[in-house]
Amino acid sequence: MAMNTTDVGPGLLTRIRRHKYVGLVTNILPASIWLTVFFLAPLAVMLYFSFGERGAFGEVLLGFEYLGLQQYATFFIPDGASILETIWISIAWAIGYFVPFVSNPASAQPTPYVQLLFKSIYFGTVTTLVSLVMGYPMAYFVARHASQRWQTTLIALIVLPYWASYLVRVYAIKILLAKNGLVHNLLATLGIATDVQLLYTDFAVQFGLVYIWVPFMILPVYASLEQLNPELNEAAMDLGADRLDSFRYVTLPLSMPGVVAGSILVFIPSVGAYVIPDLLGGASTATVGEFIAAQFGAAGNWPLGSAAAFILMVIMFGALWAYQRGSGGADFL
Amino acid sequence: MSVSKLKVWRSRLMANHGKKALAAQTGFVYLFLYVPIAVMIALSFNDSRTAIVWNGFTTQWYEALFSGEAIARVDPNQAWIALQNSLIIAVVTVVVSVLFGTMLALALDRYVFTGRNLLQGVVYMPLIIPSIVMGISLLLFFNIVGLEQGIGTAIIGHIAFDISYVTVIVLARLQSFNRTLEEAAMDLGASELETFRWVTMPLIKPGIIAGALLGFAMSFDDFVVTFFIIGNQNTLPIFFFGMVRQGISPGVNVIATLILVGTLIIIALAQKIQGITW
Repeated sequence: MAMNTTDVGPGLLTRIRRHKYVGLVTNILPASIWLTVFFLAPLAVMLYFSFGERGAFGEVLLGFEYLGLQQYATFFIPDGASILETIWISIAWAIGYFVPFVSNPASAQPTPYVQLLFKSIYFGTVTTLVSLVMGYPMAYFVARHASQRWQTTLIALIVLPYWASYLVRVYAIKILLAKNGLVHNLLATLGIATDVQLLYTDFAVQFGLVYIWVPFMILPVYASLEQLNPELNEAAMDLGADRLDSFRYVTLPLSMPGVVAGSILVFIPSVGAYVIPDLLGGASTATVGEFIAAQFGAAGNWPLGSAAAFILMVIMFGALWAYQRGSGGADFL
Repeated sequence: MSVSKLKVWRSRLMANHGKKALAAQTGFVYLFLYVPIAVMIALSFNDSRTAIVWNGFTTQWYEALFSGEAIARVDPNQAWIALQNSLIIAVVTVVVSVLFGTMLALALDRYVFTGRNLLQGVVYMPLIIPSIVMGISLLLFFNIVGLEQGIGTAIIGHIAFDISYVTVIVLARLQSFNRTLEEAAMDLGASELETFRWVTMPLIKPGIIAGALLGFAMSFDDFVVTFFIIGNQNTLPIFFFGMVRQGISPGVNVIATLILVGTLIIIALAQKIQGITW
């Protein structure tokens, strides 16, 4: 029914209210404005700062004549290296770092910042793998072998620590690993190692990361295993598969969405971690997160910190994109 | 069909011991998750200044803190102020983000429009982005805009990530319910507002409450974002972080235990009122 302004119909207000876009716009506006102004705009400001330069007294120079990619160059390119050399040096160093028993095939070292970045990615990878090895079997046990009543309790016990304060739990790890603490004394009593330094080492950081993030692996894996129909395994076994085969070819592939989701949920926060390495790690365990924070504190180089933060963000989204593509677009939320 | 010996052997192994091995592994994970917390709680009753080695039971640290006395740099009055700040920030944040987030979730569920996917992507971003990136970007933003940092800027920042949590949870709830119920209400003569009040709202209420709880926890517990944008004010996590950096002491153990027990009581209450909310 077409209606022009001269018709006698519902009042103007009613018609505005009934217009199909009014509801949409009213509902969307507050949140989108908030997210644009206080989330996207700050990211843009950060990007802008990352093109700036630090003055002689730690001030930030953002005038047009100072803008450029110098912070990114500082971050990635070692002194006097060309772009190709930089790529080679970084890859070679990464090979030496990640692959066991292989030493760095290049003679030069990448910038300390790139080394930090690799170290953080290494922490994230190990945390993800350890969480998977720890979380998968237990999620499987809860989903397959526990009774319905117990499942609820067992899963609530996994969720519970997540609701308890993050910092308090990191502190609990600090107590556990401290000199003369429980683990320290246990190792000595069992005669495995005496007077071993646990706290303020890479091990402590790794331990803390797994401790905090392992529930994020368990929950999605449990969710995908729980939905899985056990009759599928029976069918596989009727067709001649043994238990391992039926796990390997039926259960595991069908639980992959949970594994992918869990890996993303564990990997992303552990690469960008700041609190855990700061409280549990020593001076030698600096990660990108700590480095960024330092640039806004004692080190006082905001443009370099912004560039590092932007690089970290791009790597996260890149990893997420690659992982989701590689796993056939699993929906992780 | 012939079955190889290896298969017979490994099948038997898994059938006989698989469940036990898995149960042991499960027990290990629960120990891993709860032993550190239990040790911390136990040590808050430890009669020793070094706070690590067990030296007998005492409640003196609790008594001292509750009577307002500082033990080893831990000042309960500061903790009290920090707690109040945390509560103010969390309450304001939750009210605003539940309102905005629910509206956004309704829009995302009900309308098809250009840029819908883009908007949804932006909503997920604060959940994915490292907190430290969010923290420093807000710091730079407030600096360039010239907003003085304090409780206000902390609330602004918290709302920016809490909206996402609320939206995602309410949206999940909306997508799982049957739209024909609303149509039925309208057919029976209910107006849009009546339908919303008596049909939509009761159906999405669990989602809204779950979103509010999660939002509250996220705001109350946030350290990294707050750390960069709150200026010289304290919240409970920031106060706690400062103490932990200085080392392990009986006072920190007590505060940590109190935070933990306090949170657990709140969750238990929420569960009791609401059923399982996560």
